Amino acid sequence: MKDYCVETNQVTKAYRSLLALDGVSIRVPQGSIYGLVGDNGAGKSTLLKVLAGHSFVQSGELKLFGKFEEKDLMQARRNTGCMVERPGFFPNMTVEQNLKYYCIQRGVPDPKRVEELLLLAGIADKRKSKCRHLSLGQLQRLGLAIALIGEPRLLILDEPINGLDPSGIIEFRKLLHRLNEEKNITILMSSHILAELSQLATVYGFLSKGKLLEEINARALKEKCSDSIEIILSDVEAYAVYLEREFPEDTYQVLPNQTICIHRPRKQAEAYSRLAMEHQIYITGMRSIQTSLEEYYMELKKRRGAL
Amino acid sequence: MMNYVKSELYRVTHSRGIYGFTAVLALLAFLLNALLGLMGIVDGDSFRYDTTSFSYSNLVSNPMLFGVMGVVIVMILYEGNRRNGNLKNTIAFGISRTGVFAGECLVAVLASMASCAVVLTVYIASAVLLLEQRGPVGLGDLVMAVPAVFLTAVAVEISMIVFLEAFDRASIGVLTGFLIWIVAPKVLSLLGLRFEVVRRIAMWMPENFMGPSGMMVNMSECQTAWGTAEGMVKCLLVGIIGVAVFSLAGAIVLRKKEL
Repeated sequence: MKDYCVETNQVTKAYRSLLALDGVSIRVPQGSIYGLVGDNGAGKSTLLKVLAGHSFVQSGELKLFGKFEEKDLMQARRNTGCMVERPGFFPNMTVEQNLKYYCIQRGVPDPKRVEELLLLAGIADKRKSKCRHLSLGQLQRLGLAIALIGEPRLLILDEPINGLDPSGIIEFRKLLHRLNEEKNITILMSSHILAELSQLATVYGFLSKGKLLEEINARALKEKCSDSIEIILSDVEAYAVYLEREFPEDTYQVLPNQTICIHRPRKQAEAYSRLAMEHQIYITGMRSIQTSLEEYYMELKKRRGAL
Repeated sequence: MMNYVKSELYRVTHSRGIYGFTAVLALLAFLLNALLGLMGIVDGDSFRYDTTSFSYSNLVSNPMLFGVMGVVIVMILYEGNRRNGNLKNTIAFGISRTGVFAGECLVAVLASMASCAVVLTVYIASAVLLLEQRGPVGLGDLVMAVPAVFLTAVAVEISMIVFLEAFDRASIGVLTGFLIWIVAPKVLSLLGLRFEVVRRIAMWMPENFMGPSGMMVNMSECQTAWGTAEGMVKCLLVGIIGVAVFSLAGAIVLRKKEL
């Protein structure tokens, strides 16, 4: 049986008349990087706030490391690190003092840990700066450093790459990969930048208007997204005949301009190229068409009538 | 909770707020006594106020000033909590809301005691050194004011923490505190002029029985609310009730407060 760090079962949360979470059930496998995808107001931050203990649910069940009683949940949260909405900090204290403060709070009095965290988050040069003088990107790094105090087993990150510059995003991605692979930290994160999320996540949860539309692992998603191959040929009619004969399980469509489109190809692109070559048909263009995460999400919303 | 208290003590000792506030109060206390002493030297016998009695009476006749100072300390420590989002980290670390509330109260009281000790030392030392030691209000009256008003000041601090955490805007929290501790007792006191029952209730409120309607502290006499054993018990009892009521209110209100 798979172990889950986070499980929610039919979680519902409303702010007055607005239903922010409507029966949301997610499962975050141990060791995964779970990407929460959704528009503004989809319920991503609300879900993460509920998990962090900042908000309370109206109904449904919440489990962290298999614990669900309120007291046990608090205990379980000692194994989590969170950065939800914007990082919390004391603006009049320095970066180093903020980290020391939270280290004491988490019962990690070792001064070396502060140094490690400063280096890990890439803010060692800002250690003596007052937090009110930090840029948004630097605050995000500080937020991550605070979340990493106490060697958490689960990281909950809400839009963590907001405000980071391009090199910062790459560093951040590498850091999350490293934490996940080397320290086996499970990461649950939301992001608007889906292209970035697609380079990290191993499992996705798609939210829209407070509802979970789909939960899918990265491999299954990739299969669903690798949609078709378009080939431009010297003799498209002849190629269609050979294609039907050699690869009868493939479905295709002949398009204008000597183009054929193979939907959900069963073979690698080389096989289709070889088929043309064997019958002296020239290929003048070939491209694999993949649905991006954004397109997939929009399509999913349309299918579920959530638009 | 102890880790939270330790971290808060680290913050208090590494921030300028409390040091600055204590320094300003101590300086004001010194300047007040220095000014009185200077006026006494300049005007001679015609100036009647260059005495320790007059200096002490400023505090002895307004013991709720201890509460006001407590409010300022709570504001210095916790006013930015909601805006800065630092409690989010604490709660996410698995510390309970009631644990945080209790820790905040404890740290605010400890910080206030330390600040008060410094300011009173400067106040008394400068009065003794710079002023004539005569008049009805003695050092004993001032010293006894501290235990008498201590629990009430703690109750004021706890209530302010509750109001600051309960309301999204600090200004509303301060206004609520002002209404409960100052305005409501005044209103009841006025109504008490007409209704005896209301007057009796009003006289259990610190603002009234530790204020001009309950004490006679001036240049010729000193009758404090804590001057008798019965009065001291009343002061302590009211303080205990205040601490209990606002601690309970805090635990109930903040237990399910969303961040």
